[in-house]
Amino acid sequence: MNIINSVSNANKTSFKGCIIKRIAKTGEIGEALSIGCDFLGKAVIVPAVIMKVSKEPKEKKEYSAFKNPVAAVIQLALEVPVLLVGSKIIEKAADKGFFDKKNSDFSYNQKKFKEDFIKLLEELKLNNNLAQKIKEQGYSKNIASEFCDFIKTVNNKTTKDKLNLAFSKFEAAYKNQFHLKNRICFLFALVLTPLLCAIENYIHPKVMKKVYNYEHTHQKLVHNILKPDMKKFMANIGKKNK
Amino acid sequence: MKIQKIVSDITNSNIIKQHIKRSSVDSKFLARTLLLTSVSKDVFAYALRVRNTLKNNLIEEDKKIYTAKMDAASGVATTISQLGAGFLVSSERFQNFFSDKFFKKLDGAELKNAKNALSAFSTLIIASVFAKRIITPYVACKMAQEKKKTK
Repeated sequence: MNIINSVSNANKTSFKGCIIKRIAKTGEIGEALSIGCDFLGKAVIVPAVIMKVSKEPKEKKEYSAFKNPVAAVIQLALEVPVLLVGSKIIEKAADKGFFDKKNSDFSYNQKKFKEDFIKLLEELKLNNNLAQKIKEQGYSKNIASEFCDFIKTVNNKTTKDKLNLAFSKFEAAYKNQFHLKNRICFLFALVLTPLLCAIENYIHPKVMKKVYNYEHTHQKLVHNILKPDMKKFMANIGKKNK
Repeated sequence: MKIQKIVSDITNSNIIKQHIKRSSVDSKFLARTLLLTSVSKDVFAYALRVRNTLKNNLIEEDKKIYTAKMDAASGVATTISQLGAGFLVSSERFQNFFSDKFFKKLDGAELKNAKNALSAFSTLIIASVFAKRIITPYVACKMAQEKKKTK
């Protein structure tokens, strides 16, 4: 029993540890998390709460409750492409310096600073592995922690300062671009809200009509199979006997 | 080029620069920004939904009024509950309590990152799942029924 307990405790600790490690390595958080939470809540939790709490007749409650999953799917179908396509367009523009001002310290151009940092690593003939990873994956929390480990191994102070400065500029430009993308995509989504509501209003009654038609036919069939009309049945038997 | 100048003037204005810089370093600020963007989308959507539902002739009259009432009540309830819950969860006292409990073994950059992630996750989950999806429909149902009784 003790062995089982200790094994299950070890599993629990490792599971908790895994979650904490995962949280510690989470990348930048933005609109995607907000959209995901919104979808889950709208599609699953709202209908359940309406059905449980509302004292309206069942049909009315169902109608109002089912509106939410339909709205959630439409919202997801519109917001995800806006976020993905919008992010890509803004990223390309930012990497061309579209959002930057000349002679300004503040930049959204992460591509430029990424290339500068890789160039510096190659010039100094240091850590080709890190340079290759950044080339392929760009910035991430893992890359940042790898850089922290790598910089500890550099002994020359001037080189260390140069690398730190180049990496911090790359990191700052990446973060600036990420948050800019999120705010612009939010504005896109806000502008698209009337379209979203119009589509939802158009689709919703049609979906509901289909669901109700199916439900009523289904219920009628089940009712006829489970509870046959005994009077008709007896009358039919009577006719046959005659 | 004129458009580029206008856009870069906006993206390099002090307000935007401060906002972007703070979003990168201040987890509480980021969590509250995401909360406000989510709430503002909801408020706008609910207002439009009420208007559209009332104008939609494909929905039967009694269902139409009930659904519109539900939407209006949901809009008010969702704003209050999400902002209340989100601001409470993103507060330093709440965040410190949970990060001290969960992240005892972490330090340095890992601890900072974990704290940032916890702040955003907990604020959004409590606000947009718990407050918006459990408290709001409950309050909205009650509000819609009350309105019906008074009519």
